Amino acid sequence: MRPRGPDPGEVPQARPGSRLAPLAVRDLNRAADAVLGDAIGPVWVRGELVRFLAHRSGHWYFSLTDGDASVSCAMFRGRNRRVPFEPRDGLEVVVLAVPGVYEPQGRYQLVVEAMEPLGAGAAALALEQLRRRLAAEGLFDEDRKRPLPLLPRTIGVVTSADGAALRDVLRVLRRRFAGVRVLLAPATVQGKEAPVEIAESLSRLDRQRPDVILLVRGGGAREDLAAFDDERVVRAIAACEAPIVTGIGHEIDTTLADLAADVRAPTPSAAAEVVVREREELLERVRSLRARLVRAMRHRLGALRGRVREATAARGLRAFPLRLQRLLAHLAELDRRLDARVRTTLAERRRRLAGLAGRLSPRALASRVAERRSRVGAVREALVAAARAGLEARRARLGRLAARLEGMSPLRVLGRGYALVTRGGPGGPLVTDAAALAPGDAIHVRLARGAVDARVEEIHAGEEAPPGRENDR
Amino acid sequence: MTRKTDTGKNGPSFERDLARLEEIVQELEEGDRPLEESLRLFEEGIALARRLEARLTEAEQRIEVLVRAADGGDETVPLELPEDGS
Repeated sequence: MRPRGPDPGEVPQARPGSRLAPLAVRDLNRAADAVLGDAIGPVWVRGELVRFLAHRSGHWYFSLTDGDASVSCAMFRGRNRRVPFEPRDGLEVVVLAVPGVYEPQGRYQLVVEAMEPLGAGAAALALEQLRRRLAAEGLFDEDRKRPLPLLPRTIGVVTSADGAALRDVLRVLRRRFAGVRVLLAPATVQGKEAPVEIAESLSRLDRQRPDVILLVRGGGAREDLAAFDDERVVRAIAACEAPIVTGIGHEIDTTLADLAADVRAPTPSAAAEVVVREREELLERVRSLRARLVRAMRHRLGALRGRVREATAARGLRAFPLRLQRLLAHLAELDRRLDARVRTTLAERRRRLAGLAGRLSPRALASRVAERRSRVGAVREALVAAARAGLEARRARLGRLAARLEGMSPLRVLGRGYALVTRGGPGGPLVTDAAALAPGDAIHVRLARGAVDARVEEIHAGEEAPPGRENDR
Repeated sequence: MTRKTDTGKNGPSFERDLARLEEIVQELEEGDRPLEESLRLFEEGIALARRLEARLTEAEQRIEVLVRAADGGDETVPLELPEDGS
C-alpha cells in the first residue's frame, strides 16, 4: 500500500485535499509543520544529547532522548553560534524549540533556538560565560602580562598556611639557595570562604610591595579548585602591582586565575622554580661581565702605553710605562683567574655540602649497629667539617680577590704621586707632549685626591723632563 | 608570556645595576672615552659587579607571615618552621 506521504501518520482530511484536488506532498508537509508549530509552539524540552553532529555547513543535528523516547533536532548556524559550551553526546541539556516537520523527508523534528546544559553542565556553562566576559574586558590579554624580576628580593606567597603547597615552595627556594625573604599571606584555599580570603590576601600582600607573588595550591579534585575560578580572585590578581605566578592543582588544571596570572606554572613547586630559576645563569652573566670589564680596561691601558712610550722614548722616561706594564700584568693575571673560577661557584659548593649532610641523615644511621653508627658518624662529621672548611676557604678567597681587584684600579697609580694632565677640562685629551700646549692654555691636572685646573706658563718642548721628576718612583 | 630580560627603567635595584654594568662594559669596550672617564667607569663597574655577585650568593632565607595588627593594618612577623619536614 502506498500512502500519500512517507510517514506523517493520519493527517486530518483537509478540505482542499479531496479526491478531486489531492494535495502535493510538499503542501501536506507544510500544513503538518504549521499545525505542529501552532499547537505546541516554542517549548522548553529537556533530554540527553545523542548522535550529535556538527555539520560542515555550520548547522547542528542531534537527537534528544529520555531513554524511552527520542526526537530529532536541528539547530541552525545562526542560533548555535550563541551556545557557549561544547555539546557532546551524553550531556543533559534543556532546549528551547519549535516542533515541526522537515519538508523534504516529512520527518517530525525540533528546530532548536537555544540550548543550555543541565547539572554539571550548568556549572561549566557559568564558568565559560564568566571566562568570556572577563576575556572581553581584556583581563587575560597577553600584553597585560608583566615580566618577572630577574632576582626577587621578596617573594610573596598566598596559600594555605598548613598546606603541602607552602612546604613545596619553601623547599624549592631553600634548595636553590636563593637569598630571599618569603612573605606569606595565609588564605583558605577551599570552600565558601576561599575566594574572599584569597582576594583579600592578594591585595594585602601586594601593598607590602613584594617583587613577585606566588598564588599556589596543591592538587585536588577539579571542584576543589573552584575558588580559583572565582571572579573576585581573578579581579584581585588583575589589580595587583606585583607580577603573579600561579601554581594551582595539577598540570592539567587551568583555572581562570591561571589565565589572569602573569605566568602560569603547572604546580606549586614549578611556580617557585620559575621565580628563582635564573640565578645560576645570572651569576655567570655577572662574572663574565666583570671579566670583560677588566679585559677592556687592560686593552685601553695597553693602547695608552703605546702612546706614552712613543712620546717618551726619546727622553728615557721609563718609569711610567714600566708602572703601566706592571699594572697590565696584574690585570692579565686577574683576568685569567676570573675565567678559571667561573665554573666553581660558591652556590655549587654549598649545594654539595647540603647534599652530603642530607644523605647522612641521623635517621638513616640509626638502624645500623652501634659501632658502625659511630664510625659513620665520625665520617659524616669529618665530611661536613671538610666541606665547611672548603666553603670558608672559598669565601675568604673570593673576598681577597675582590679586594685585589679594587687594588688594581689605575687610579692607585696616582696615589704614588703621578698626575694625569688633560687639556681644557677633565674630559679633554690627555697631554703627553709639551709641544701640544701653548702658554696660556688651560690644563686639568688629576691627582690621587682631587684635581687642579691650571694655566701653562712656559713650554719646554722637546726638552728632558726637569730633574727630580724622572727619578720619582 | 613574554619574559623579556628587563627593560631596566623602574625595576628593582638588581635589574638596574645589571643594566648599568652592561652599559659600562660596552662603553669601555668601545674604548673611545677619555682616559679619566674610562677609569671612573671601570671603578664603578667593579663595584657593581661585586654588589651583584654578593646578592647572588646570599644564602639566607627569611620567612615572614603577614598578620593583622591591632590597629587594623598589616604587619609582618617571622615564621618559625620546622627545618626538615622529612
